[in-house]
Amino acid sequence: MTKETYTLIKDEVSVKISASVPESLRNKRIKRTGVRVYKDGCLGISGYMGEEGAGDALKRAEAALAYKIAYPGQPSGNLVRSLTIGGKPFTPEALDAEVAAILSALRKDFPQFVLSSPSVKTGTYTEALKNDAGLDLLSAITLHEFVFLYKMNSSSSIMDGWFAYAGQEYNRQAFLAHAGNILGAHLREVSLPAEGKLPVFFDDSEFLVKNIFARELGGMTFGSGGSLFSGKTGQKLFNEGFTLYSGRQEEHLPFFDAEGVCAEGFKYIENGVLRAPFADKKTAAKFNFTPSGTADAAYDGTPTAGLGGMKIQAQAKTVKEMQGGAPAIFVSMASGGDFTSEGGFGTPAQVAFLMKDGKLVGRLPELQLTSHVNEMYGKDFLGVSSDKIMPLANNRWLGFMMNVRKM
Amino acid sequence: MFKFPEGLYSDVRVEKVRATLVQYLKGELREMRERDTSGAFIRVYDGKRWYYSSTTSLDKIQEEIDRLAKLAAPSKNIAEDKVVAKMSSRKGVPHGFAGKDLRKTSLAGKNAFLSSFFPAVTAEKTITMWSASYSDTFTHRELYNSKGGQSVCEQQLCGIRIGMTFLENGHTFTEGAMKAGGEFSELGDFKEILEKRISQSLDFLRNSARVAPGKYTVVLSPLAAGVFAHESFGHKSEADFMLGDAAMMKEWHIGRQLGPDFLHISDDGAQAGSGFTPFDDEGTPAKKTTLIKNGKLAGRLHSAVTAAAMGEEATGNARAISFEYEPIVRMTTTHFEAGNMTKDELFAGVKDGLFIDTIKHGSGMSTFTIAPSLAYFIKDGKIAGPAQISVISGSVFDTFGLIDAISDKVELLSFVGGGCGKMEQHPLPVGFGGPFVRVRGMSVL
Repeated sequence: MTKETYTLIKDEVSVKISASVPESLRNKRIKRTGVRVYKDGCLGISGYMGEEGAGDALKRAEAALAYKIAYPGQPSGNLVRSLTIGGKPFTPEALDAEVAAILSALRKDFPQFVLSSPSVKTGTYTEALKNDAGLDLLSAITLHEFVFLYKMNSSSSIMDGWFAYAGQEYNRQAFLAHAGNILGAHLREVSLPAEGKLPVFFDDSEFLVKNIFARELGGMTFGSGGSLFSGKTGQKLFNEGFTLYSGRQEEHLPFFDAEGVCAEGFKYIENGVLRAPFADKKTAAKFNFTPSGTADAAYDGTPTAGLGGMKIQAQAKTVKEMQGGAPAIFVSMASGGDFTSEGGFGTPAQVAFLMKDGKLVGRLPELQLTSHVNEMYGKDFLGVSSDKIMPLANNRWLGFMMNVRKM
Repeated sequence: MFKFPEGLYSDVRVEKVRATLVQYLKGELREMRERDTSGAFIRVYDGKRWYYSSTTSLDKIQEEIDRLAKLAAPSKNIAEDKVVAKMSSRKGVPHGFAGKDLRKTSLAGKNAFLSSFFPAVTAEKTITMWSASYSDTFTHRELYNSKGGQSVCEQQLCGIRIGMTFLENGHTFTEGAMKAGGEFSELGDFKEILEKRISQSLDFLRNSARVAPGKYTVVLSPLAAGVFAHESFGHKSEADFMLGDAAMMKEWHIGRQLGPDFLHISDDGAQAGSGFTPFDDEGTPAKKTTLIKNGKLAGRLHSAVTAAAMGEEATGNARAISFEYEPIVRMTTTHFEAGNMTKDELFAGVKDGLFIDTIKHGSGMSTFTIAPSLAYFIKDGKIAGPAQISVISGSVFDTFGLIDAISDKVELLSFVGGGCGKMEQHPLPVGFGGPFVRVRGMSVL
């Protein structure tokens, strides 16, 4: 029998903003520990919160073996690694002061807007996976996540747009410059140059345009034949420049997954060729796949294949070079769209900006975007830029040629 | 119980939860667990700012109160603060759970109950992938505040979800069946629901045709109408979005005509089901809030904070997803009220339109969207075959004005395994539903 503990610690401070002023300051320290036991091809799990309860949780986990939750193969072992990323988080007082300074600057420069935020937060997020097969992994990531929502004073909408930053390094001037780009562009209303097929850019972390891969590359669906891509491993389905991989660390996730698999850079699609679905160990064993190192789990839950950190390989061109002097669109907010079961794509774009030479020119009216997965990631794929949307964060520009028309 | 500091308003919410999850993936058991969690959320308010802490150390709540108090600036006049004035000072009668307590039902029994529905799925060979889950939650909440207010409430929710992917001749279609309620007995008709959904899905897989984009008369099922009410309108009724926002207050002034005079929408935390909130997380008891009456804006949803700021009454809508978060203004069970004709009359008035039966997801801002799953053509008042629709959308204001019929029977729905998301808090259990709602000239893609 192998015993394992999976510990998640969230140590976080956040400030909530309402009507352009700080409303509250919140501290959070939550520790959750899962206890797993592996025996005779089965897995038993339980867990506890806080510092006390390890003994009882182990007894419950051992008892849970009776449920016969199959776990073929072995738990990860014989690996000791610890990685700490980022410096110290803001103290509550420092975060409070930083938010006040940001708000003061933005109120002065952009009095036309009301600002709010569910949480401007900073924290250290620790995950540890240890077992008596020699596994001892620890990740401690300090992350600042500043999300600001804005609306025009004259607007009757809940929000008119947003800007954000997530990263380890913070610089007020860089953040304010990014905010200024967005807010300044929002104030300049421009019209759509023409309806039809146009270059459309998204933040490369935008899940909406990637969710078809989350849906269709799930190992169980893929292996069972129910995916659009089932049976097409090794086939060139997409653009030569399209490589889809697991970039957990770029997405501020631990270097190991919930099963202790370390597979940074695991490729799902490489240069347009379908390579593999994402799979946890159990699914991988069932269909003879390779574990993708992206298993998620609740602290007391069975690890299940996830898609954490799904990234598209950046190319050598900057966004300016990708645009080639032609006007383009940056979609800042697109809510409610989806891919159909056949791969068709449609979404409203509630907030979009006109771009020229890599710069935001002005705010466009609401748009309707349509395409198909085969075209978006095939002949209409423009790629991911070499340059970042803002220097402090990892987000880059992701472009497609798409059918665009006004709502 | 706690020593609350002078010159400040403070409250403590203690939450103890037993949650069960049994989950299968294509017939293989993946999860089977009972989870007991407990934690507390502490708030301190000095008349200007709120200071919060969440902790799993219930023996250290007093320490956290004292620590937060040191960050705050006590005020002699805190009792007169208009936010504090809205906080309850009553010791409510404990609201215990009176039904069959599912904590006393064995995990094996719950597993057997879930497994009893599998034959209907495995018998259908076009289902290439499926998942099934049973979940239940028993929540015990206690709230104590520095005004002497106390409330204790318990609630329970359980449900089953089965998701299925159908594959035939290279075409796929994904649908699901779900039933939720306060007790096991409320899930009794799930077999019929599941079998009907499988039959509908096969029909859709084999016979659906793509809808040409355009403007259509659309009939929304109680589920779709509920999503529409929740996404398109409910969120805009949450008063925290209006604080300090003169433009929004003007646009959303009480009495504004939004739709026809037979249009009524309510939010009701006293309704049994997934939105049931006998006391909110500030201790305010549940009440029914009429949001639209006779087509006019009639009310909005409040916490004590927003009620104080806008000079209105707290409505019992201050809710948090768990002890980790502060209560914010959220919906409970939001729904259209009964309307002006029968369902048959409503359909009979459609010559060439669409019926949205189930949905994949919805979202709402100035423009709302609903992504339908099972949808149908309507020809001359009759269902005329399944229809593939990417999304329906429209502006909230315009769409209310396009409603021209509402049926006369309300169906309220409960859910498990998901819920409403707002800001960082997701998922919060809510209920919604309504009658059938007919909308003219809706944009369909």
